[in-house]
Amino acid sequence: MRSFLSIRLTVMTFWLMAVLSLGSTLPARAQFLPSTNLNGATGLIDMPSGESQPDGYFGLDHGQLAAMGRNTLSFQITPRLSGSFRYMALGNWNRKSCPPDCKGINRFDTYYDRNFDVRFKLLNEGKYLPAVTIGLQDFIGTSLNMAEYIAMTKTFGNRLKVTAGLGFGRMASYGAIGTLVGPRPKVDFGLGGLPNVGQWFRGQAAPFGGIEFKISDKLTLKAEYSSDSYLVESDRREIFTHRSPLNFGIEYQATKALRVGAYSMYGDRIGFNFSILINPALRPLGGVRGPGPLPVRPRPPIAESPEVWTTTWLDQPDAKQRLLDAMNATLDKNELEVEQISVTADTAQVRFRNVNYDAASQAVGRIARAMTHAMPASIETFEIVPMVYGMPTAKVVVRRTDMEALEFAPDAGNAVRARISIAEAGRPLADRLTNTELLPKFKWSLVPYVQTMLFHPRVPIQALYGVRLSANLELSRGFLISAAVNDKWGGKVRSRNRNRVDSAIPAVRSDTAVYLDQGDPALTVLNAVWLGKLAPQLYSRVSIGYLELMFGGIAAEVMWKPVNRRWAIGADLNYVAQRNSDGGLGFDTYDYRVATGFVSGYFDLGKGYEVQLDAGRYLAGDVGATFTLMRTFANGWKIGAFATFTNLSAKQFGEGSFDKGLKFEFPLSWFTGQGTRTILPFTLRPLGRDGGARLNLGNRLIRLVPNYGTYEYDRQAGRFWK
Amino acid sequence: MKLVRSLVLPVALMLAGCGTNRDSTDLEAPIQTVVERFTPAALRQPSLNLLNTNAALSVRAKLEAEGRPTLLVTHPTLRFEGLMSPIGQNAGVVTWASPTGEAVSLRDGMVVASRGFGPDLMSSAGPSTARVQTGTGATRRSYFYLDGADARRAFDFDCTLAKGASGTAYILGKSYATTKVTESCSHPLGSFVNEYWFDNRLILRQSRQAVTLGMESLLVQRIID
Repeated sequence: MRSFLSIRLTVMTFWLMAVLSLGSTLPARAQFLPSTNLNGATGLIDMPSGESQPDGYFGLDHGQLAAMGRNTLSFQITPRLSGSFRYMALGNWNRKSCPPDCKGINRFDTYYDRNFDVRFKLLNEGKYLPAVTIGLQDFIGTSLNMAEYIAMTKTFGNRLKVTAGLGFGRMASYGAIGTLVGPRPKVDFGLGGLPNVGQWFRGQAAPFGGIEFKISDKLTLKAEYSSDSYLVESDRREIFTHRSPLNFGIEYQATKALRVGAYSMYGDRIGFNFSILINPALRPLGGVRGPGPLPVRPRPPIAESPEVWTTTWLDQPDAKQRLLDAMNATLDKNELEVEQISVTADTAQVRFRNVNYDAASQAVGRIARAMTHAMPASIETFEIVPMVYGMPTAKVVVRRTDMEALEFAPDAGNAVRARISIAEAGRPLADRLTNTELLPKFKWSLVPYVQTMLFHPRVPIQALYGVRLSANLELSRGFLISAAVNDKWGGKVRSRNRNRVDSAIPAVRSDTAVYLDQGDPALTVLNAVWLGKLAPQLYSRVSIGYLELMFGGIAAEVMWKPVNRRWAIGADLNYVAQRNSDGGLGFDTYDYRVATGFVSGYFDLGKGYEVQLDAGRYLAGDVGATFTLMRTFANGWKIGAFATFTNLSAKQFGEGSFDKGLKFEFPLSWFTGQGTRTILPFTLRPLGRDGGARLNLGNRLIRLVPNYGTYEYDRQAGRFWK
Repeated sequence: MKLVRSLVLPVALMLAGCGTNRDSTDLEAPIQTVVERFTPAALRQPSLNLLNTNAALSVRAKLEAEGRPTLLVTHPTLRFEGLMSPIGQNAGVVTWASPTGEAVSLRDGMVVASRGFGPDLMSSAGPSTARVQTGTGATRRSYFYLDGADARRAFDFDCTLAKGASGTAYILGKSYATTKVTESCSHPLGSFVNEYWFDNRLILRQSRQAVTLGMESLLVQRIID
């Protein structure tokens, strides 16, 4: 369904929100922050520098030199390690050679290329020592831009930075001074997708360098000596003419996150750079905005009003119904829904659904405050149990006395967290009442959608658009029926003609474009899902039906997730058949059935890093494992990468050698400042093929359950009083 | 089919983003944000602080007829102005809220917390109103916030009180003889000045109090006691 790119938001929406977010994502103080070059790497104009961006920062860059455009996503993975993905468009590629030679690589008017970079800061800048960074540019695959470098940058005062470096590969194509390690073998990239280790730091080396001078908080002058001769682009392709190694330019810091630059490049052209730098960790608008909570209602002192503290209310036959009604009266059902209450003389347990709060602590805090209004004075202990489709996920225990005493205490967030306990949900109290009005529940939505496919060699951005009608009927606790239909209104996508390289490998994903194109309208999902708990902390899911656009069948999953642990273990087993590409109900076109399954481990490494390992059998019948590393932020941002290695050879897999890509999750609340649980996922695959493919399933347990564990709660514990 | 779609298109676009499924991608919130950001000030509700005397007195008369204690609260940076009424009291702190959900919690007129503004003052510690009223000496304030990553941020300020000149405060068409006190607070990262106007009954009639660091102070005006 999403072999190249999965995107659930419109591109326009993302950019709209990105632009709205500009302005307050960087520290308020005017600093001489590191800037980026035309490659989107931290650096000068075309050359890198020894600096790095602040930890966790996420960059979007567009650099333009003549007909050459470079679009780069960069991420500062750790304080020292950063990575970039670049998509280059080299215009006028065949102007010199075609005609007469219009074959092979010369058939392209514009040649598109993908680059991966990685950089590591060896040394932080000190009083006397410069910042030192070692980097690999375009180090995987065809490596048109392949280069390695070591760069040093020293700041003098508040206005001047000086950079000097030594480049290899492409960065030694002008002014080389000799060889350090040995000759540089020619790149044999084969099917691509693999690092060209044999070339790194070999062959000629050439110096480069430059200066940055900050003339005001907004303006910076840059000058550099470049060691890149643009041999291919200038001499062979004549996209522009390299006349000089010197580049000069000026950059304007338009907002705290947006920077633009214009440069005189290589004595021939004017180059431009447009750079957005975002700190995902901090919402640009600060805290999440939304109606304030109901304040705590304190109980009168028992000495003054002993009648309020009696437990005679327990004898009333409709006591629980009245308590349930009182809870519902104080809560907005669009945000929180009470599923069940159970009580004793001094303890009340509320099981609830969090409809809208992106922070578990905020949902718990609001329930706790509502309980101070609804529950009789004799109830001292509040047990608050977040439910997900009928599955109790944890139990947060709060003392009412603490609520009353700490509401306006200094540092109230920390103070109340110290008194709260979080444990396995356990069972409800003996005397309980379920909210019968909650189910069955029908939800629907009608939203526009854009389905994109990227990186086709001739049309790098292809898109379909239309409307998606989704419906979700929850008939009873944990049993729901989901359906979604896409109605295409326009656009066209076509697959890469080399997508399927080995007819022995089932076309489980290489026909994605056919499905997208022919499915009009397309029933993307129609399935029944059972969710439940088999034992304490052991969750289960079974899905039957049309599971996704390309497959239908049965999918079962279990996951063990202890509340107070940083890890979870899961397993899934699926038997599916490939659907017809017309988006209808049939399974006969491909006549392909397969059993797939995985054992999965999920580990929260702390400090914002999560690892996932899935090992098992994939859709094409290949066997292997997927390794995913994500950097996570408390507010919901996730940025990471994955790679899948199976028993398919690189030749069987095809171009790219193995499945890999980047994964992003953008919380909508970050952009809008409004409370919402909507997450916008985005998966970027340089090449999508049949090897290493998995089912695209909704309601995976790992996405539903862990939000209420201790560690997840504590990431946003301060939101309890929000 | 194309004709059907061309007829359906406008309706679908109107419905786009509609539904009851709050978990799905919807554009309602971002669109609302855009509308709020780009709505010219002139098209918003006229400020109660800018009403002429007759109009202001008319509003005041309506509020007095309702008989509820009322504050007029203005957050200039967030372009918020609203009337607030008490919705709860705990440990001597009264929480006042607007109909749209913004709220401030005051201990005898001193802001101790805010909610519903986004970058809220989560909790605080500071001098009592009686202490501020003296208009002399040093005080200390502690403010607690959540940053954009929901991490706790604490700031301690050293403050100095000073008496200002007596004067008249005009609040929604009515004038009050007041005595002004200023509280100048500093921190290595920045400073602010709180201003307090006490009336003849020593009620804190009007104040400008720092709530969100880096933003303009919150203006709190007591309209109906």
